[in-house]
Amino acid sequence: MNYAAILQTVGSLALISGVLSLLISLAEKVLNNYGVCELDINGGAKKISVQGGASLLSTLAAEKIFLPSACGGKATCGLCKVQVLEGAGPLLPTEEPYIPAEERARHMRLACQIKVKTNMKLVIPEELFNIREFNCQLVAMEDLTYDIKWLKLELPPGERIDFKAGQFVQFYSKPYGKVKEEVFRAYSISSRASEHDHIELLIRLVPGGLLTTYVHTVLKVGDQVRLSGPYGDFYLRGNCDEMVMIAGGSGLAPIRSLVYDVIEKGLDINMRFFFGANTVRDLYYIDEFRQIEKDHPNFTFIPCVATPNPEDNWTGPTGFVTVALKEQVADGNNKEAYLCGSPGMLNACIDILKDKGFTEDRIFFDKF
Amino acid sequence: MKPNPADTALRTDMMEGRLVLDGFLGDDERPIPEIVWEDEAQLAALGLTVQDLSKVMRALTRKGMEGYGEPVAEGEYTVVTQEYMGFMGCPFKDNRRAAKRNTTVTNQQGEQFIWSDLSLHLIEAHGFFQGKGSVYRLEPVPLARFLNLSQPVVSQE
Amino acid sequence: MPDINPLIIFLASIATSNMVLSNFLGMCSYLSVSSEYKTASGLGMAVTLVLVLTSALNWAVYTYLIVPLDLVYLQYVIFIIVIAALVQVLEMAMDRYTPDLHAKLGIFLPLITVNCAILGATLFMVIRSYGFVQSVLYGLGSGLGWWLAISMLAAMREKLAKAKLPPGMSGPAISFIITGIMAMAFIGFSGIFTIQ
Repeated sequence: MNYAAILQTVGSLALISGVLSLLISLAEKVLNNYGVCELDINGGAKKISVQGGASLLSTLAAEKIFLPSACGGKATCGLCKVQVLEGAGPLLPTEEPYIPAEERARHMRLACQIKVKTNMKLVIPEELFNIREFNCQLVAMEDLTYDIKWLKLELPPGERIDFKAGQFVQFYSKPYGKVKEEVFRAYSISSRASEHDHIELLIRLVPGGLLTTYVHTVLKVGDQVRLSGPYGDFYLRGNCDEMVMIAGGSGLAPIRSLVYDVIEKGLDINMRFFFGANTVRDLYYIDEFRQIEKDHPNFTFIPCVATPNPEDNWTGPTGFVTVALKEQVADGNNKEAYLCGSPGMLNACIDILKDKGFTEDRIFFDKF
Repeated sequence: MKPNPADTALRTDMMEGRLVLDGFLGDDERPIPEIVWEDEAQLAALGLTVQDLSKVMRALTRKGMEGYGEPVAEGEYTVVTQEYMGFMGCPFKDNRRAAKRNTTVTNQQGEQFIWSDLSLHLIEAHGFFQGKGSVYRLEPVPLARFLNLSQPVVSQE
Repeated sequence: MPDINPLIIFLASIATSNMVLSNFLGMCSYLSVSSEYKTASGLGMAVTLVLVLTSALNWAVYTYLIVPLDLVYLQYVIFIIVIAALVQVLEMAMDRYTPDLHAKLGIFLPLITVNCAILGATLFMVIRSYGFVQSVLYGLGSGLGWWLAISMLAAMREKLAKAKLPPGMSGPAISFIITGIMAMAFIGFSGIFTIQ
């Protein structure tokens, strides 16, 4: 046995590997350390110092600035667009499909794809600063229909949420079963804007939905739920004599909040609420809205059932909500329309409203 | 063979629990381009392209949407389209958002095919019928036959 | 050091002694990443970049470390860890300074560490005892040659995706046949210049 040769082999290999690993860790120290970067938001209105290296979306979230996003950084939703005037580097291939030419000219970027590597100059819409994060507790949950659940979430003691009726929150799940990471989705708030210590949500089960499956099968009363919000430009404008409100399914949520808002503010606005359902078992909150109708003459409730079963003894309007809408709304004069529901119903109703003379700036709906 | 890294990234997003609960791949181990080719080749053998299928499927979904969740008759088919709020991003990251919409088509023999708008987009734009064993997989040849796009396949043996 | 003009080495390593088509090196990634032209071309670019850098670095390591210290029997191991380390540092540097290039090539870099074309080029350079300039141009030429070959295969496979192939011929099978035909076609260059 030639121990010297073995020793020399092992020694030289160890030495070379050692030197190389040292070089790599040195390179990592130098190249991967972006130091402290300064984010200049809205032309100096807000300046924050952050540790560089992470994505802009998560860096801002750590600073309690929440950009809207639906996919959680997988570059599939394209919602986290933000205007970066300086410091973002060239447009990345993953961003290309999401940023059309005119947005490129305005330096729009996907916040989940770009990393904070140098000082950056950003423009963030003012209303996003109002968005906060809440660690709520689920205090009540009930089935409203076979696939819609009502959730009541209480804010931590001492905290309050200020939102405009009609706005939505992002609901964050915890990993469960096959879902190995947190997912989040947007849900409209169904409770009154005058209540600041809790919010209510209506969540309809989507077959195969990552978050709705979590809510419907995993979540229990007493669990903690993380929310962020409020988001959205679907809220009460009130520059009209009459509000035409149309909802289907869980789209009733923001409308309920809007109705209470108008009533509580004592606005002199007529409200007509068309609520579309396929069958009688899809209807919910009927008694509550009937009661509001009784108490407030300026509110009219029109639930429409597309195909009622004979045994349901349905006496209200039959057919799609579009039929009732066509019949009962004469024109768009001094009227605003508020819609919430599935995209197909939304598009059909918007077409009818436009025919009736509603202009686009008087038709409001959430684009999610 | 070494995996294609672009394919690996795509596979990750297609796993169960990432974008959809049950994943797009099932227990299919083939690289995604291979899944696409083999399905395309099967259709090509019938003289069809994926667009031939997606066109008919899209038309059926459109027809179903007129029912807002209620059955609509279209020729020999009964179409039900269920809509949910929200949208789904495409795992191929092409800035196409598919509405959460499921179309269930039944013919008079009781055969049934179900697809979502995302499945439809995956077929239309990427030729991807999803992996074998995935609950969302649409077998191209039976689907083509179901849509009356091909004569029953004559055995080649 | 053989008395060959480095420029000849450069041209020869693209055409006559092409990495893939005459040495059949780097086959693994060549076959698996050639289904789309765009990604294939990205990988080709990354291989070229790494080949140039590793030829230069490994030449220095060989001349100034391995030979003086009498470690020739360890050269394979040393070359491989040098390549691995270089790719690591390269990835970090690209992420920092050329984020768009990193987004294009970054995913390929880990794959390249274990690409035999890279080690092959280094070993050929050692066996043929090239000088520094010769080595670098050899690396560059080999990289470009590999890039050319995978781009051509990918372009053809994209066209073939629409073609009717006999059962069992799709995928790797037809790729091998295409590669064989391309290799034969490249023999045509050998009349111009040959190196060995």
